[in-house]
Amino acid sequence: MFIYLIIISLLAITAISFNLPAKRVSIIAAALNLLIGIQLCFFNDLAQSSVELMGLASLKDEGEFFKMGLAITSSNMGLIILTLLVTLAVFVIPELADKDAKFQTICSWLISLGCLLAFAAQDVIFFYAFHELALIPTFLMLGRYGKRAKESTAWKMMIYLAFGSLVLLAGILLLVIKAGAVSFSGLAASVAAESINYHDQVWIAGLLLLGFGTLISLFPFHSWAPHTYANSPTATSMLHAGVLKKFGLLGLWQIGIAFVPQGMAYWTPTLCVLLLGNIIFMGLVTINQRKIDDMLAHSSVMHMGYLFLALVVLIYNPSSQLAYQGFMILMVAHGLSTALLFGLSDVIKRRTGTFHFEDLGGLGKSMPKLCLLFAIATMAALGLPSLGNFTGEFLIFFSAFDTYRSSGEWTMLTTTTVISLWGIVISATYGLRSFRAVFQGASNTYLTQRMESQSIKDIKFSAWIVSIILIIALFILGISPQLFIQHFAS
Amino acid sequence: MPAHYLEIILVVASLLIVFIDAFLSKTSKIKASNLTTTIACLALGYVAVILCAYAAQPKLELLSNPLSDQFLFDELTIFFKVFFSISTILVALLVNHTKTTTDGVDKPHQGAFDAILLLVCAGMMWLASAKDIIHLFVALELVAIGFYVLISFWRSQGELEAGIKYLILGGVSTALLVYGLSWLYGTSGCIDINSIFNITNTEGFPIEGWLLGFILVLIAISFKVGSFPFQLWIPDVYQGTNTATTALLSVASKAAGLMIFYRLAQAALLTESLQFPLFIVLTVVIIATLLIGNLGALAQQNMKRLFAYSSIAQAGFLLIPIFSLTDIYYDKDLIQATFCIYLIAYLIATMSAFFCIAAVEKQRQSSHQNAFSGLSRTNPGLAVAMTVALSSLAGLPLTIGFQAKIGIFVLLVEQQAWLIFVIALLGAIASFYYYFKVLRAIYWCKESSESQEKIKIPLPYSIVLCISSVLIIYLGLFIRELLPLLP
Repeated sequence: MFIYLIIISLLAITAISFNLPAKRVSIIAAALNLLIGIQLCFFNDLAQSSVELMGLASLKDEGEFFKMGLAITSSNMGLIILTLLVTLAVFVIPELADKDAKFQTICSWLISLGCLLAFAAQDVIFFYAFHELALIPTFLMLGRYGKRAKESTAWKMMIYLAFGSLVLLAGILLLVIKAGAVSFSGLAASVAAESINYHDQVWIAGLLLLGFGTLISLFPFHSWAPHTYANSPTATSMLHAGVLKKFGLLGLWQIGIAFVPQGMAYWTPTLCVLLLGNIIFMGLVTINQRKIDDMLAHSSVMHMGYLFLALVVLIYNPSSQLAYQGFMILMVAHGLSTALLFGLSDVIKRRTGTFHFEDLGGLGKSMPKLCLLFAIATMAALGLPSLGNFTGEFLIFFSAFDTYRSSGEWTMLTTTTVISLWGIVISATYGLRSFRAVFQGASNTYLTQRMESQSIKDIKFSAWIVSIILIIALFILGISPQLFIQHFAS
Repeated sequence: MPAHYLEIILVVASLLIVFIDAFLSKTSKIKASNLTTTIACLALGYVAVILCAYAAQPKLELLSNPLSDQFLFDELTIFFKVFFSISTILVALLVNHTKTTTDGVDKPHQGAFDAILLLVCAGMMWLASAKDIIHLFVALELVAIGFYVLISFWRSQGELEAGIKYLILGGVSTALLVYGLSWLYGTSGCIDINSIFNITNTEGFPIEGWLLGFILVLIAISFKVGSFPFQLWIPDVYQGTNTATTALLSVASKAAGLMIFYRLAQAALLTESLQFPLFIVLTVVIIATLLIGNLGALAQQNMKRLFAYSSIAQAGFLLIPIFSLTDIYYDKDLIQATFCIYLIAYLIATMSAFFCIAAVEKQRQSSHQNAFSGLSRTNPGLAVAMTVALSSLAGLPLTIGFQAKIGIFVLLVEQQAWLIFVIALLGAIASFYYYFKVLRAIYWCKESSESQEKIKIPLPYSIVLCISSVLIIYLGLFIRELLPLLP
């Protein structure tokens, strides 16, 4: 049944390229995909949903170890739902001009398809390859429809991500050759047989961290991310920040921790320091931002720090249920809240023409629905209880303190956790400040005039409905995460 | 049918074309050029089909090899013969629509182009079957002289300059080749290639003279391949000559040079004392070629010059399987399969890109990068074909170029050649930039592009572009289908 998701996406792309109305086709197809996805993940036996795609990763003969395929398993289920939800939001919330619709919708579908296939991949080569599929449409969209400095931003993103991808490819190739297998099941078997020695593991883990780290915007390799998200058209930043980044995180969990655990353990001190760079340093940079899109871009880099903390805990203790659940929940919740915030900020820009905090203000009166949505999304992003991000962060911090609890020993991980707790304060600062600046208080005279003349309309009804769907998902994750958790084994 | 008849068929077809062109072109040049192209394609197609059928089912004995002690006819030979005939068919289709033959009395007729094209292809096919050095030399000369004519065929200024450069440099390399071959013959007393290498293992063999000959031969072959110290002619010649010849040079001629290099490296395994020196030389050559090709391409604005530098870089990648051969404990089948897959990927993607360049050049009279601007609005199909071809050359996943690059990287990792591995990776990163510069022009419209009209693409071009784009993606996903067909 999983193949229907792919078929519908491809049909949508074909239909749009033959000049059917782009937005309508996309919305229908995305809604269909979402319904199928929910049915697949929650109401189906997951074992039935695998799709075998023939392929050959190396020139050796095939067997279990070289089987390449796609499947929805417990670890990628949440991310697939995330992809489908954000894809629907991408076609509804940002408002596209009709003449751009064809190109933008096709690119968005390609990125979404790449994400879907990458998350569902059950072997390292497909996992890597489908992520690359999503890179070209991002590049093209950024260069053509970017907001400011489009070409230089597009090149920066492209070269940086190409560097990350090729370092990642080196790591993956090393892993494949040392372990002698390509599929996840084959690699797991070779790990059980302990066929990769420690020295090789350290190298492989280092390359994977560098490669995936660049893709996830880990601290020193993050400088492509804020510009890219700030300057790219909203659809692309929703998909990239919300969905595509999680590819790197899933990769570190599925490939790094699963197959080279001792190698990853070697790098944990470095990782602890770097993730603090993400949380504290980038957090402080975010506070300094004066525009909504810059702020959102920097904040998405900042939140990756929490997910790295989860990864560090999982490196120490791969069977930690708390860390695993927190990791999964926070990935989905962060994706939803970031995508929603980017989409809503696009609506603000279109209605008022500006992103600057100084110029905005008092919009709560003329756009009450948008104000409500933005408020809830901001609260989600800063980690208010009863929304998904809080659950994720709480579980991660709790699991990070587990080592202290069990052994009483104050390790580097504990120090890191204590310092990263300040990230909550930092995100509260910029989140609440942005909400207050945009929706409350006074605004500049031009906007006040427009508000009084009622020319600033509220968010469209269709966007309102889809945003509510995303918010309901966030509430479900926050209030009864058990509904999700029961579907993951560890 | 004896296998050596295949090249004779091509020669006969070429003579036929000369006659037709001489008599028919007086009445109607367009009809003549269509007819000659058809004959060329038919002859080449027949050759390719017979070879493929023979390779697929050797039991049917469509071809035999009665001259087996002078005419090499193993699986790798068949692969290369098919490779050369397919690339020549594509070039014949390409050239049929690039020059209209309605102007100028002094301009040579296109029929002559097709005739020489067939002779060049026959020469390359003979080269694939060369077992001794005389055969090698004569076939190489046929190819070289054919190219001297093809490069400056329509006698425009760029072509003449390119022709002179290729003539002089090619002449020097031929001279070095002959001198080297004569040293090899003089010291070893044999003309068969395997015997020349074998005999160096005897006691008291004058290896210094032999080495001189070998080095000179390697120099001449490096010229043809376009690897490190002898790559200077490539950008100027590729840019100056007409697009069809550029396509043929960059695909077929380069593959011919690489094929000879491969054969020599295979034979060099028979000489024990050559292992280490060859290893060192190849390491230096590959690193330098990769760096020069990838870094040189970054600044290029002209499409043909860009593809010239990119072909230098791709030659660097293609030398890696040859480098792997120096490790005699290594898996020869894997090396050969990697080599062939990379060549196939290179053929399809480069030819596809050249068809796009030729289509744009014909209408917009320029092969500068900006001629491509606005293509996504005027010709979305052409834009997609170019995107797929460039993605394959850059090595983006889901294309056959990615499978080829993975094969190369696997070879490097298994051999633990870390320095070359790192430089190959860096080269691949750099290649993203210069291939996607073209995408920038195609998709990110500038103001001037509003005035561009739709490019009329001739039907053969569309067919070729469709087939190659589909093949690139299909083989990228299902490369297992290709493996049984390889040597």
